[in-house]
Amino acid sequence: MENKAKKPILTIDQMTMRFGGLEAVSDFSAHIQPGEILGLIGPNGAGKTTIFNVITGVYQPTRGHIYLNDQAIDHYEPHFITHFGIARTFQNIRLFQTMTVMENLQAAMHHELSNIKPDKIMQKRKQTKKGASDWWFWKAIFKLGYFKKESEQREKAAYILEKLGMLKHKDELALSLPYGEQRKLEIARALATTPQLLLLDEPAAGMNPSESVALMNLVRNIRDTFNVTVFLIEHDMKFVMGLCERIIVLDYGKAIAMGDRAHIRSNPKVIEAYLGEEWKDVIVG
Amino acid sequence: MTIPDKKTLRIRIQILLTILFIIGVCILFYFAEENLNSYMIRILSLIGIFAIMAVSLTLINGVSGMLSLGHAGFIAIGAYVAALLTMSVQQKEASFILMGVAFPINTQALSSIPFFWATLAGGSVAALMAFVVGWPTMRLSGDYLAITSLGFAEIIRIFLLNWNRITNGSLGLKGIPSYTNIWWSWGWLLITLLVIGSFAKSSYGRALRAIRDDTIAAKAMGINVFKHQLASFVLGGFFAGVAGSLYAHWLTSIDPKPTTLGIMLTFNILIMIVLGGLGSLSGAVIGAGLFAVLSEFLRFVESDMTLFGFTIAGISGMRMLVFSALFILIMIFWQKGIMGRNELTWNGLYRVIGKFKKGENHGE
Repeated sequence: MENKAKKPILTIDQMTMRFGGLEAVSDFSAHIQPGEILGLIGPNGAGKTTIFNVITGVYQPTRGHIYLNDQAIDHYEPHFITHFGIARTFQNIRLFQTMTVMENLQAAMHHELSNIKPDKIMQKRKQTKKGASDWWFWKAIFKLGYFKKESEQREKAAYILEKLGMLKHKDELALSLPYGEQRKLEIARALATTPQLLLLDEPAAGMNPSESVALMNLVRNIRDTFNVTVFLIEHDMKFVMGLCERIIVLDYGKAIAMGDRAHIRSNPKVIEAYLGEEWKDVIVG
Repeated sequence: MTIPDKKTLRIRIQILLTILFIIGVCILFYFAEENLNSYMIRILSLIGIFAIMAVSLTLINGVSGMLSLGHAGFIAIGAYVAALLTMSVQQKEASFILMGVAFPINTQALSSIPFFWATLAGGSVAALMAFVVGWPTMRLSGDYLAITSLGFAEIIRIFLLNWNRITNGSLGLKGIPSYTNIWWSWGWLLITLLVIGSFAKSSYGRALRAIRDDTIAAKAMGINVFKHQLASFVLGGFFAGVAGSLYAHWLTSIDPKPTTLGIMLTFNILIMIVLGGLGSLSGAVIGAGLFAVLSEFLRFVESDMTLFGFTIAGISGMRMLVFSALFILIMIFWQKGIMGRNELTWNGLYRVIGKFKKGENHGE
C-alpha cells in the first residue's frame, strides 16, 4: 500500500437517502483513507446502517454519489459492489447456516468465476481478478480444470481461517458455531471476497469485554495482514475509542463531528447530543 | 495445514467405484430384463422416469430453495413435443379426428424422429419455457413463486386442452410408440444425475445453497441471485422435459387431464422429494423408487378382501388414502425425509465402514 498517496479509497459525496417523507441520511460526506480504521457512531436510528446499505448498493441514494477509487458506484446492484472490492458483515448475523465454515468462505469466492461486463471499474479490477471467464459454468459442470480452481479456493479459505484462528472449525456447520465464532466467520466470509474495503456492522454486538478486546486486536491484524481498509459501525464506546483512528459521529442523519479520538472526546456537541453528560467520565477518563 | 481433512477417498478411486457401480447396475438390469416379467420391467422404467422428475425438482426446490409448483407444466411440454416428433404421419392423421393436424406437425420432416433427438427437443423446449417463465418470476420468492408457477402449469394444461390442431385437444395423443425401456429411462437418469449432481456440487451449487440459506447475505457476497436461480430453474426445466418425453413414451397415450400431466403429477413429485429428503439428489432417487414401488404394491388394498368369511368389496382410490396416511406418519416421525440434506457418497460409505472396524488399521 502506498503511504505517500493519500487519495481516498472511498468518497461519499453529499449523499442523501430519503424513504418517503423520512430523511434517513442528509448531505453526508466522508472520505475513507486507504489503510485506516474508521468508526461510525451515533444513537439508534441515526442512519448508520443506512449509510452501509447505500454504499453496498442495497439502496440507491436519493441524491449525491459514492466513489470507489474515483469511480461512481452508486447505481450498481449489491453483487457488483462486492465484485468491485467492498465487502460487509451484518448487524444481525447472516451466515449460510446449513453450510460448513469452509463452504461459507467458498460461496463468497464464487463471484470470482462470474464474468461481469467490463466497464470503467472492471477494467481496473480485471488485472487483480484473474481467471474469470464465460466458461466457468460449463467448466464446473464438466469438471474441466475445475478441481484446480476448487483447491485454490480451499487453500485461500484455509489461509483466511488460519489468520482468524478458526481453522479448527472448518468442517463444522455455521449454525453449530458459538456466537462469537459466528461473528468472526462473518468477517472471514467478507474477507473471502477479496475486498479493498471492509464494512463491519456492529462487529462487537453481544460480546463480553474480553471478547471485544480480542476482536479489537483481530480487526487490527486483519487490516495489516489483508491490506484492507476498515469502516465500522459500533455502539460500544470503549471498542470504538480503542480501535478506530478516526471517528464520525452521526445524529439524525447528519454528521455532527468527524476527526480523531481526542477531537471526538473533547467535542461538546458529541458529548451533549449523543453521549450524554453521564458518559463524560468514561470517555475522558 | 495443521488440521487434517476428514477421511476421504482419492478422487480417482471414487470415479472408479462409480464406474464399477454403474457397470454393476447395468449387469443387474440385463439379468432383470431376462428374468423378470414385463410388468416388473415397466415398473423399473417408471422408477427411472420418476427419479428424473424428482431429481430435477430437487434442484429447483431443495438445492435452490425455490418452491416451484409448476413442474408438471414442463413435463407436459416435454411429453407433447417429444410425442409429436416421434409419432408417424399416419398415426397423427388417424388420431387427430377433431380438426385435423396443423401444417408443420403433419410433415414427414417432423414425424418419426429418433427417440433420442425427440427427447432432447422436448427437454430443450421445456428449458426455453422455463427461461421465459423464469425471467419475470425469479424476482419473486417463496409463496409468490409457488402461486405463479402453479398458475403457469395450469396455463400450459389449458393450452394443451384447447389447441386442437396441434395437441388434439381433450382427446390427447394416442398411439405414441412405446420406446421407453429401462435402458432409456435409467440411461437418462444417469445423465441427469451426472449433470445436476455435478452442477449442485460445484461452486454454482454452493452459490445456490447460499441463496437458499440467506438471499441478502448471498447478494452481499457478490452472488448474482437472479442469474443463478434462473440457471437452476432452466436446468431443472430441461430435465423435466426429458422426463416428460420418457413418460409419454412409457404411457403411450397422453392427455391434458389434471391427473396425468397436471397438478396431481406435481404433487406426486413433491411427495417423492419430501420423502427422500428435500435437498438431497440421492434422496430424490430413493423417494421416487419408494413412491413407484409403494403405489404399485398398495394395489392389493383396492382388491376384494375376505375377512372372517365376509367379503369386502374393493374400494378404488383406497390406495391413495393409505398412501396419504403413510406420508403423514413419515412427516410426523421423520421430518427431514430419508436422506435429509445428505447425499449417498463413497466417502460416506467409507466412513461408515471405517466406524465399524475402528482401531484396526486406518493410520495413513
